[in-house]
Amino acid sequence: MTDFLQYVIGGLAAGSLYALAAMGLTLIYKTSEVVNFANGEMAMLSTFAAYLLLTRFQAPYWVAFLGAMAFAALLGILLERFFMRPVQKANHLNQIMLTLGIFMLLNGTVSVYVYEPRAFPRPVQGTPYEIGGLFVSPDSVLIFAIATALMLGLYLFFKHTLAGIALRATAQNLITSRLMGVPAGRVYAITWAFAAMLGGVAGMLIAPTTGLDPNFMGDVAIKAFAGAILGGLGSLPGAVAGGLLLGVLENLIVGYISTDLKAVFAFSLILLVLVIRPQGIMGAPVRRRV
Amino acid sequence: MRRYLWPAVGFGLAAALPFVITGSYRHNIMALMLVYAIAAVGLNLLVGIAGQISMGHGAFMLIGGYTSAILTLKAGLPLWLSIPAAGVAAALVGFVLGLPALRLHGHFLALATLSFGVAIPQIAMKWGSVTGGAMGLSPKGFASDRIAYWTVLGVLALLVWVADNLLRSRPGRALRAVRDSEVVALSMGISLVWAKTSIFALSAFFAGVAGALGTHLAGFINPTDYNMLISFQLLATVVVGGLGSIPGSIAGAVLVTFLPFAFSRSKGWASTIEGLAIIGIVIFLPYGLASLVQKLRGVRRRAAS
Amino acid sequence: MKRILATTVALLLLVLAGCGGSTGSKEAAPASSSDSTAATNQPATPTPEPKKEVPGVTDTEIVIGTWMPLTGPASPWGIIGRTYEAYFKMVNEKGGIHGRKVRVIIEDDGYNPAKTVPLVKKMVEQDKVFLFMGGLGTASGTAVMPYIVENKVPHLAPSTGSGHWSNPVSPGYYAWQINYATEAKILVKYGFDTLGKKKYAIFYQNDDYGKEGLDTAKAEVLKRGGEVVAEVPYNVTDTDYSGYALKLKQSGAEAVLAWPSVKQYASLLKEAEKIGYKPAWLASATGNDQSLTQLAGSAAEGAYFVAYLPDPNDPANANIPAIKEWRENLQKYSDLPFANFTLYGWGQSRMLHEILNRAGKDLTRESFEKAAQSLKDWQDLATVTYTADDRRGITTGWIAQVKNGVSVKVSDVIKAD
Repeated sequence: MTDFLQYVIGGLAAGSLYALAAMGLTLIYKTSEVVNFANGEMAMLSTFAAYLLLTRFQAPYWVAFLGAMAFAALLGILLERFFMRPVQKANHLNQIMLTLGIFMLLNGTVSVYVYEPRAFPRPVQGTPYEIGGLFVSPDSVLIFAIATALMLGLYLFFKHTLAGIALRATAQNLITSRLMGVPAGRVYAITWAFAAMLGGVAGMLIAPTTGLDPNFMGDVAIKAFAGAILGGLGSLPGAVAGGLLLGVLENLIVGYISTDLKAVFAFSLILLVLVIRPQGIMGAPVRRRV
Repeated sequence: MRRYLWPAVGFGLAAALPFVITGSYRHNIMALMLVYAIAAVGLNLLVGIAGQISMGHGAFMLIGGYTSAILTLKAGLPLWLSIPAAGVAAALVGFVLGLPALRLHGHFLALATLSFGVAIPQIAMKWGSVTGGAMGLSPKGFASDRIAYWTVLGVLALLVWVADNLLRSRPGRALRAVRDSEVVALSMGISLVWAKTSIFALSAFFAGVAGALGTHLAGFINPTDYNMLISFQLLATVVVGGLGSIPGSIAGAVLVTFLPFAFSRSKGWASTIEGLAIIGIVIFLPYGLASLVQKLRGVRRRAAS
Repeated sequence: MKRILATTVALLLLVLAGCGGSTGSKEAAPASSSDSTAATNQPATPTPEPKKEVPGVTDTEIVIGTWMPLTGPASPWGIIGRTYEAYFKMVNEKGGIHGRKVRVIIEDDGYNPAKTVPLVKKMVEQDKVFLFMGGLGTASGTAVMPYIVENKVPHLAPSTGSGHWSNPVSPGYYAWQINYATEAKILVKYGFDTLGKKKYAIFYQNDDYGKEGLDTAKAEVLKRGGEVVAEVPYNVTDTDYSGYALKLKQSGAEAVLAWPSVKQYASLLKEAEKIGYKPAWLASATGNDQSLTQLAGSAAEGAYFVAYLPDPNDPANANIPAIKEWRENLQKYSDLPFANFTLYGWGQSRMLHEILNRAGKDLTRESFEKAAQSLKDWQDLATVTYTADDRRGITTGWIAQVKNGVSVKVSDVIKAD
């Protein structure tokens, strides 16, 4: 039993990271119905910004963190304004392809300059807590807490604040919301800034585990996508639930079934869930327009 | 038959190319471009015409590649049998996958196909007794790169003819109806399940054939060959070329395959340049390369239908 | 359908532009170069002293080729190739080798065998390279090996430890990096004889590299009467290792034999530390470099590795000629870092230099191979021996252990059978 619980704990720790990344994806999807495949690379770049501050300028962690957030926001706004805005009216596949192009651009450029993985510090150091034979590390607890807090915060923001409602309106119907006075341009810019910042947070929390190099977010990005869909694309609590569930599922598969085929089993299970419940765990029922 | 005139000219010119451009490595690259053209045309049928999505199409290329490699190595089949067999194998898998997956829509279908794209290479790695596992298989190649090029060109011509006929036929119109509105298509009596699953299987067939040709072109296959990056690039090729346009897909494949080779000595900038190319085309040519031709002729029409 | 015409024209132009643009060298005679099995030696001209033209060698230049992943997920390895450029820049500045300057051509294949094939053909047909050095990637290397052998181009020191290059012996192929099977033997020997461990688990990367290690390790353990209680593969792209660590712990193994990459190994070690699992860690040299202790911190303490190159961070090694030269010159001739990969590349380059020197002014592929096979326990960065039947290159290594963040030699040199 202890082993089972330990696998679950490990899974929740990994899942919190997926959840963070999934929230960034979901945020952009919520307001523009585009799946941003470059989210992971934006996070990677922001994390590198933090790394530069930490090493080149010997900045303390919280300064590097804020710096990375500022950088991420700027990056998000620039990408949205100069790359995504021109194709706003194009069909979704085109927009998704554009994000793929951005992915290659960012990944390719950083790869030319970075040769080996760098160590990235944890936000909280410390030995793992031991409770009844189970080990939990303090930063796992922190990450889980951050993910949950962010999710709650964003959820409330979208549901109950005017700004949040305005953002949701833009996704539902761009023209009408514009007529209602919602500044669509600003909405998109803010969304991308926010999503980039979320990605940056995810990146800074993931990097200590994987090491920092141009490709460290690659695997996470796919899991984030899967988790977001499992939870119901467009639902922030869903993104978190999906991410967590995916993390736990993967770990249980590693423990009890197979290690090298874990992706196969994990994805198969997700698909099974989707076939039974196509809208994902917490998604709104899919309504197709005639 | 007027409508065969220009394609005949086009393919004729293409067939003459190896006499103008020499060097077997160039022929190898040209053949590789056409291999991806075949896969792109097939994917375009699914995405551009039927309006579905497949984010893991590389998996079908892998299945085709392995099938042909195994048939030639272990059963001693000749290429003209193993390559169509590869296509059929991929199509069968596509059909079986399509039945449950195509019930899903949009991003859910995307995830299903993405999962498939991730799963197949891992299964290939694990199933070592059949696939040679991590070491891969080394099937016999073509007699020369020039012959490889002509073979692939011939197969492309044949499959383009098939695709073109499909587009002009009743099933083709049915597919476009499914793309534009499933509900309306249903009400017109089109069987959604049959339409979607068969086009998925057909596009898998194209990919399987392409994968087989690519495998014999390189003389080698291993599980990392047709991975997620290739799947994404294939999708990018279709968009870059122009959804629904067969010549567009061919042009897109030529361009996307060509870029890394043009920059293979430029110290690692190949990815960046490819990314910029994709971004540029999506922003400035939203209907793909196919629309470039129309723009040059000053006609503004939609690339498809 | 005029679109197809336009497309074909575009296709034609693109291909012509690409081929014309990326070469810039004159076109070889069409008839012989369009066939993939064309011989690379040009026929001797009828003169009283028939002097055969050697591909890639002129009175002033030697051309060598390599393929590296400069883009894509394996791109960190690409700096091995760039190290060659730096090294030979230095050599050329000092006058070259027997009056010839060395030109290095690096092709980026993105770790994709389908691309490696035409790129290798290009280097053989168009650039007429004299030899290949350090081609990176077992899969890509396997794909192009038949063609390279067929065209009688030597391949010195492929940048992988696969047994493929030396077993069986292939004409022109000289392996360098200690191969994974040899590492397995060394690790198991140490585990049994020195550490007294009998219960092993094997952690390995799920690709050709890891599997080669797995197969030999398993065989060796069983041969010695030990037990293999778990086999845990992982995928290079995995980010979460808590499950793997737990699985290893569950198996009850006293020692873990590993064929990982550095980054991933660091993650595993950290996760194992978290759950209090402390077996004897015995890993391939590929799992260790300067960044390991940075990434893994205290979790790497006490871990054992095969080593076959002296640790550049150990001050005792500072005066080894190869390391001294590397320290003094690498950053003079490039912007590359002082890392494992660049030391590796430097070692390969020095060996090539030595062999070319020994081959003499009359440089042909035959004289090259003769010179290569004259290396007997040649001690430079590592100890290398080549004979007509043994092309493994480096067959001796030792065990190093991480102590206070530094890899320290803890055993004598062990020779594989």
